[in-house]
Amino acid sequence: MHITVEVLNSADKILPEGGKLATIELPEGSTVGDAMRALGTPDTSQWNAAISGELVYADTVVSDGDSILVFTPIQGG
Amino acid sequence: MQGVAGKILRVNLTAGTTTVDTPDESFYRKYLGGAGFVSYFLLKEVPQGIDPLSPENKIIFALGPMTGLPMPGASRNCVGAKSPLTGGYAKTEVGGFWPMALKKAGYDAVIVEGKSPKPVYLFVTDKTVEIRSAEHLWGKTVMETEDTLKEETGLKNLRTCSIGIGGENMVKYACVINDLKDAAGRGGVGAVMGSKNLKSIAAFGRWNPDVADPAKIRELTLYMNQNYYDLPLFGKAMHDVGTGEHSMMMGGNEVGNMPSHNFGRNDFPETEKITATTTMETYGTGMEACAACAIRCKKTVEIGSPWNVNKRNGGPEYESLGSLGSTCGVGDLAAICKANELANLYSLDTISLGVSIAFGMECFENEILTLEDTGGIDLRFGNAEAMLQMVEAIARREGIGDLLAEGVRAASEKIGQGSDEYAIHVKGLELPMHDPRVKQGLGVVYSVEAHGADHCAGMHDTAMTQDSAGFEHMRGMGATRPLPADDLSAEKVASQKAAHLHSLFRDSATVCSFVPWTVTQQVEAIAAVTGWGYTIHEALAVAERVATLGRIFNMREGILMDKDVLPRRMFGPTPTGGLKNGGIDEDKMNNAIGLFYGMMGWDENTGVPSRWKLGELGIEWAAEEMPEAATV
Repeated sequence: MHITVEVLNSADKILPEGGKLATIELPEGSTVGDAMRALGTPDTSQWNAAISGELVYADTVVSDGDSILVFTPIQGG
Repeated sequence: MQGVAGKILRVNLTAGTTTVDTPDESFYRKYLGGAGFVSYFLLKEVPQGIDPLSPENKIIFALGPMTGLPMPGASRNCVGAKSPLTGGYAKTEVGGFWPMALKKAGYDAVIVEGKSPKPVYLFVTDKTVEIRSAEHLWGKTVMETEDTLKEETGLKNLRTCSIGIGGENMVKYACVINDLKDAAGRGGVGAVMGSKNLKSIAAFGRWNPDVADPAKIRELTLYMNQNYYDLPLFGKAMHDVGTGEHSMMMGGNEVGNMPSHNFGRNDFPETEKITATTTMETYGTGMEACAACAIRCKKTVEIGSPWNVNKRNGGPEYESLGSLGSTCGVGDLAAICKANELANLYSLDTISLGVSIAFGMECFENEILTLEDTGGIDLRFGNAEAMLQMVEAIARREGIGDLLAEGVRAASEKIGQGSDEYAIHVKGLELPMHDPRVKQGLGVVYSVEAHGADHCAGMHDTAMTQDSAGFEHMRGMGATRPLPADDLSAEKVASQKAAHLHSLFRDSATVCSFVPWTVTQQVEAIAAVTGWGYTIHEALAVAERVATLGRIFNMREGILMDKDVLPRRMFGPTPTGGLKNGGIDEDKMNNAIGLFYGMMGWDENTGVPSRWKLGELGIEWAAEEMPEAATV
């Protein structure tokens, strides 16, 4: 499967090298969490992710052609 | 007693007298400080059914046991009163330097009663307490007030907590400003201060509390100062740009958490123009801190002519960027910064201010308000000039501003014509910039919180969806496992209850939520300051007292479970964006609210605190304040 992942650059770097747009290959049945691990996300990293404008989670199964947008967890005041 | 001053200053402005209460240690241990004190004194001393703007109301400024120590996040206080905005319980927290100054003057709290016949300010030091004339300050901004008081007292390190014309004119959501830019924002406590003709409390002192274990306090402080930048959830972003950094706001916009057009939409095409990152890159002059805090999360901005924004008055937090910006459909960052500055100078809560203006805009676009009503102002979404005109009109209560100064609930009741659909509030308190359609567990807390929709009172579901170092902290308070943001299961409710209690404990200890202390560290700090054998169990009991006393205060005012409800708009989708298929399932929300009641020891069907819970918490006295018909 081809999956596109866009990580919005942030002060709290989700990826060690900061923001990133990548297309990765994953086997069928892979999850958002698998995609993040494939990009080298540290286990302690915290993120939110969306596909087509809807929040998805580490255990959300992805489909061929999905674009995942990854960003800092929505919080604060 | 260690850690605390042991003195509560009581000021009667009608009589022009000041006295000192000296509660015993058991009182301090039971109610701790901050929100604990506020909840106790409001229920004990404010009579049922009074006009919140009458002399019978009281306003309480309460510190915590760590306040006054050079620890990150400890220079904070809670302000409470019967709210002129909601008619119920109000408590709101704030940082800055003033809390430390009040502690160093030798007091743990100030209770202000009555009403002065003329404008006054309170001068509190470790040597004197004086009620002084403020006739020369009435009508002045917060900044002018502080500058004048520093000059006339000759104390350059004098700290003030003041109101501007918003408070003087009793705008129902006027706030109290610590120093120049930190707001005890919510519920209209500034209007209560104005109703008493109290312009400012100016504090100064050199008294230092005795601490049981200073080495432990030094150890905790050193740990935070050395590690905050790399700790989860808060750290780098807070230090670099404060609340509202680029990735969070852009991601929020993607999934429906960027309130726009009065929550009628939840995606805002101009979001990138108004993020905190853009703010700092465009107009930022630096980051400032509350007393002794290394995190320095307070952005400052400066803009030249024609805006003339003075960096001394701070810069917009995320809530202000959203409320004065996207919620009004405004993407003009300079206008937002100016509105934020005016709100600080005039002492207006930016959340209620922005949502009230947005309410007016939606009424205007739907021809419920006309050009005649607005005095010729084209009050459409996206009109930055109109937004700024409204800030001035509301602060001065001029024209349509007088109506919008009442808050959206009262304004919609007066306007009628179906405008209640556009009144976005819980119990009269306007919604913050976190949409409960996205963060549904937080929606439970918005519903049940005695104060109304308070974004600091619970867990932001989006930050607790992963098993991570951040979530590990939540486990210590009773959360079980990460769950999706829209989950409303019993397990989610349990996590929200734990987070709610943590927030109320934090508000009683008056510790900042932006400093990433674990709850264990917070408990250790209280033990180190006071010498008590303090535990998490004891901390959470304080929080339960706050929640339960606040609920009983509301019940006494006739605010019952039918007011534990989100605005209708939250149960439907938005036309576009991440919530186009969204909207909260009402049955699930109602079920979750019932579960929350039950987990709090309140009746699952009525929300009435049970006698066994009052007994368990040692607040059986509060049963006498409950309406007889409501007793379970």
